[in-house]
Amino acid sequence: MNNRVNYTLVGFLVLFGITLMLGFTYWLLKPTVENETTKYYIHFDESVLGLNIDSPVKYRGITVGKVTELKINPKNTAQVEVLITILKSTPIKSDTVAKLTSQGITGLSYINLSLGDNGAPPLVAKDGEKYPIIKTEPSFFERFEKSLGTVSTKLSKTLSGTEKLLNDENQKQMALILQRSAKFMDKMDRLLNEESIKHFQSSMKNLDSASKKLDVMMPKIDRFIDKSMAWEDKISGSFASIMNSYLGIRSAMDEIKRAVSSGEFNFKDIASDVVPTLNNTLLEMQQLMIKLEDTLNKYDRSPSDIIYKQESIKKGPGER
Amino acid sequence: MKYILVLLVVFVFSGCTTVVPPVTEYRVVAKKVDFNTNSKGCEEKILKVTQAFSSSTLMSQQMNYAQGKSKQYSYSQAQWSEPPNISVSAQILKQIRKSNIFKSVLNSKSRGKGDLVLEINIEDFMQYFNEDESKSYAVVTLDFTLVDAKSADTMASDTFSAKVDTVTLDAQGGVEALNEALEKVTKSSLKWLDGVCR
Repeated sequence: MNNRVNYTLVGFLVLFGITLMLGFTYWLLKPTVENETTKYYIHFDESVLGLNIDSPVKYRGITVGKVTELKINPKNTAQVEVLITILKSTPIKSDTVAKLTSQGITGLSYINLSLGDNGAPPLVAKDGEKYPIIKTEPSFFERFEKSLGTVSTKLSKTLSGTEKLLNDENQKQMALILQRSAKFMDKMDRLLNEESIKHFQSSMKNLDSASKKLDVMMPKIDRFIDKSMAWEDKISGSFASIMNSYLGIRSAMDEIKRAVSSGEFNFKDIASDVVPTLNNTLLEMQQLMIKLEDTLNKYDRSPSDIIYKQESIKKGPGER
Repeated sequence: MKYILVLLVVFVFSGCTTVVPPVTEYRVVAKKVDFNTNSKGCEEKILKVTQAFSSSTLMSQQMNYAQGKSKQYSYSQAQWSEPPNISVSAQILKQIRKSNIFKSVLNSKSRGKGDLVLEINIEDFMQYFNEDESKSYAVVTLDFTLVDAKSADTMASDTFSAKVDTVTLDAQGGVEALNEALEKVTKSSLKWLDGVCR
């Protein structure tokens, strides 16, 4: 038997084996997906209670990554800066929003990413930013708390208003109104006694009767209106005729006016010739009338003088 | 037969007709009035004399006379040649024209327009007898009114009257007395016009 062991070889093999084991371990521990993931910052303005390192990051319910780091934002201490590592294949757009969501009743939370517009550009880091920052929206609890606060404020205001409304003076006024309402109702009750109701019923009957009479009258009124309209049409026609006559007279007057203005029809000239002649004629007619009256008076006294002169002649003084 | 009937009718009518005495016509003629005007106020004005207003008895040619207090008759053998209202107007116009008080004097029939108008109203122009016709006189009474032709305002107004006894108790005496009375009235009216125009 050959006891000659090559220790150098053995040592070499051992070292080689250890090296292989270390290499295998490193290979195992090495984050093989480093090249397939990407990192984003999320700045929450609310408490991230329930969110821990390695808390899942979901996209539409699918776990696409995890929380890598949690810390207070050194630039704004009111915010919590969360670093997430998610798969590169996750479609993070410029309008993608992160929302802190409670995971059932365990008190744990996860980050839910919602898809923005499919056509929006991918989210990229701005100048001075190490990783791109995903926008956030308040969680359900945050909104609930805010809503609760608003409701509380409104409720408080309402209560305050109610308190003001129900102060002593208003209570007195309300009591007065109620008292008066009670009196009014009492009066109404007395007013609406049996007799009043009978009267009311009687009035309603009369109204019904009047309505029936009105129904009978309406056709007559319609006929009257029809006749009135016909009469109105006739009157309108008459007025049109009068208007035409008026226009004719106006035209004639305009013509006369034009003739007078142009000297064709001068009243003064005509009158200067006619009036003296007429005056003389009238004077002569007057003389004639007087002679006629004398003659008639004469024959009125003795009609037979027309044929036979019978009236005796009264001789005047000095006449023979 | 026809000729016989015509002759018969002519005979009947001619035989029964009363013979009317002849009638003498008299004119109203006022004697020439001697009057010299002293006024200058109307020498540039034209006067128009209207036909005299009168009762209807003075508008006929019948010559009337009054007897006693209330009787009135007409002469059967005398009448006016034209109605007294016309002749009186004409005589007055003639005398005013001769007086030269006005630039011109127009009668009522003229087409000319006067600056002034003289209106004459004959109140009386008649011969009067007493009851037994033993005494007679004539009366002439005239109203004169001078009117501004443009404004129709009355400038002056007056009444003149004259009474003249007749020489004879007949129509001729009456006419002569009326003419003399008219002359007096005309003279008075000229003096009045002269005073108005002064």
